[in-house]
Amino acid sequence: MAITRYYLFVTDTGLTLWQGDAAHLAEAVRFEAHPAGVAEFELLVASQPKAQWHVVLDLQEEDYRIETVPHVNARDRAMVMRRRLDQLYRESHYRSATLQGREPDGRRDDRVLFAALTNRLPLDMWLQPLVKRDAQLVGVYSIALLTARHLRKVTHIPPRALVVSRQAGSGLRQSYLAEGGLRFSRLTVLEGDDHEALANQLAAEAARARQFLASLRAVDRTEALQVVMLCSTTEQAALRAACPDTELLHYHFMPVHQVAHALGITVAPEQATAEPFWLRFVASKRPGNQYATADQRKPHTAWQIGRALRYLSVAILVGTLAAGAVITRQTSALEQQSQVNEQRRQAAERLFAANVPNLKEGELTPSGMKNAVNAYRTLVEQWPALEGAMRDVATVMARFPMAELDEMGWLVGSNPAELPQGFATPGQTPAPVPAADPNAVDVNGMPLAPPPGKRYVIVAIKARLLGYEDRYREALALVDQIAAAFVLRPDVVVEKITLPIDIRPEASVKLGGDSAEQVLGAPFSLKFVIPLTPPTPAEATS
Amino acid sequence: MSWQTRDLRRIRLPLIYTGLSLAFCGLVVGGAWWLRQAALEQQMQSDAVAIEAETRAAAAVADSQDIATYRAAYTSLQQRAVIGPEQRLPWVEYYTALSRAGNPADLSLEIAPRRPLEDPPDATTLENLQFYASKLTLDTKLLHEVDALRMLDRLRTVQGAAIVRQCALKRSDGTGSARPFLLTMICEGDIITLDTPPAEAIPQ
Repeated sequence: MAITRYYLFVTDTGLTLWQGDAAHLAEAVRFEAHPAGVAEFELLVASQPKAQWHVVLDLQEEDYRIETVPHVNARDRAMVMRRRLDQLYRESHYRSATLQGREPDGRRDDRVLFAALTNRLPLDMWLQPLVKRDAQLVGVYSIALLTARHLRKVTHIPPRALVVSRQAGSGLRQSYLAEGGLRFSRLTVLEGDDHEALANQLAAEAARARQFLASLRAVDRTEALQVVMLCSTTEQAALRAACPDTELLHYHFMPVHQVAHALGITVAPEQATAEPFWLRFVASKRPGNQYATADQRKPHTAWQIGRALRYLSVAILVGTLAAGAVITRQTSALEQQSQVNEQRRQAAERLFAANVPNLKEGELTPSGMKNAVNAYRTLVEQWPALEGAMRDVATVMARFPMAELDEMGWLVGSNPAELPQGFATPGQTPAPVPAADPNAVDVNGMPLAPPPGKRYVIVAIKARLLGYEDRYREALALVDQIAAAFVLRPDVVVEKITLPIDIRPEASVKLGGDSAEQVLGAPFSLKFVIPLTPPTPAEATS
Repeated sequence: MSWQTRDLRRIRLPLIYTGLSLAFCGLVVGGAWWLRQAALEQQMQSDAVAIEAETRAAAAVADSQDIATYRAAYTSLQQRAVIGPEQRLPWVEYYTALSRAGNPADLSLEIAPRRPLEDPPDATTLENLQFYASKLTLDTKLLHEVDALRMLDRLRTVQGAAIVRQCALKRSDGTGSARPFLLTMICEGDIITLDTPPAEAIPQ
């Protein structure tokens, strides 16, 4: 549904209503600033409950102040500006603060233009019907503030210039722009419509303005003030002739349509007053609100939120449909894959049935038969034999003729810390099989947690070194040699269980005395662990 | 600007539209996602079933080609009484033959009741068979280590299958006894059989 937009131009004498799109905005009706005019306006507002209203004003009682505030972040700056506005314009609802740049030196403070309507009645008169009807007030804009903010972008206008414009119904607006900002602005009533009267008034106002600026030291005493008069092309030459340059005043007569063109707006060349240009500017560029209060703009803000929510709803619906389509496509692909898997299963079942003979109750399938045979081979035929260990022990002991073997234990187990029967020292408990870190090893390098299915051949011997009864140093060295000799493969781990004499600091040593046991030779015992490599599947099936 | 709860009436319809859109979105996307997850689960399940069937079929194809070899080995195991009920008479005969020969000097043999084997090889593929073990204890007195090896070697020729789990050999002076010996050996192992488990008792 198309949005109806109205543009109101408010002056001290009345209100003109403009209508149309930005390029063809035209004055539709004028309401005088008296109760009858306001009543007519109220009727119009009542008839357009959905319309959006933009207000451009050019009023006498508008005040401006340029101040510097410390350069802080945006949030703090807003707070500082709000507080300053409260101090400067406590009584006015219509006020604004505009950042106009920064000081060139010193702390480089922010330069802020504070402005307010010091008399709210001329505007309230027209805004109250809008507020009463809960109409959508988009924004309230001031010609002076629009001039300050946007005319500095027009390159034809000198950087320091007194810009003079005429607005129908308000008068002659003079705004002095310098260093990218507004220094002062004032409105005087137009004394006459003919060129001569306009030229005379312009010269007089320019001289007054120059004097004022000189008193503010805004211009040097000898500096010429650049005066830019916005006019129509038809009156440009006449005004030029009527206003010759003086030593202190230099005049520039600039057609309104040229300034408008520079800002991207189209107005007729014969346009002499500036308000159509600014109204079209507002309609086209939608500048930020300047004077309307938040409460006055609440209906429009609500409309904006509502519009955003509607767009969001549409986006959600579109996204839902898109997501639903994507997920549905994925679901369809998965279902097709399931069908393919079912076909694979059926084919495999057929292949299986073709290769498995009919079995009687209790009969094994070929696979079961193969598995039974392989399991038997793995368990029984590949089980380690005692002969191998006896051969290893005999080979090693043969290299040490002074060593006599008394006892041998042989064990196949899954815990490498286990000892064959008769080899556990008194008080020694069998080492538990920890279940924690599978890579942990004990002090002898044996894994603490054997992997499942892993087996070890554990061999322990008890022997004596004949003739080494009192030669402990040599006996210990010899036991070391024998222990080293049992490392027949790199993965074999040898552990000394008992030594001819226990010389560890934590052990007790007792020599001599009646209780000394008379043993022939120096006794010792060793243990070696041979990990068994599990057969590979190929070995198991061969 | 002070927005209050009553100001929400200004955007009541858009809020309703947004809420309905979100609810619709939740229903559609949630429902579609649920269906997708169900399809995914079904696809994964069917894939696993297909892979298992294919593996089984491939094994069956391979096994059907080697069936002659395995059948022979299987029959041999049956004939040796490895598969089926445990045959203890050959072990008794083994004992009596050794005792009668007088070598070793002394021999005792003990066979414990049969039990399921605690550490069987991969038992998941044995279909209706299960490994059983009967603890076998040999206590002997010998003259020489070679006699021990010979005796254990003969153990393998007995009909059936046995594994020796541990042995303890100890030098001993038995020269003064009626049958002299210099070595004692105690071995423990298991008689291994593969058999069908008995039908489980029906609960009362």
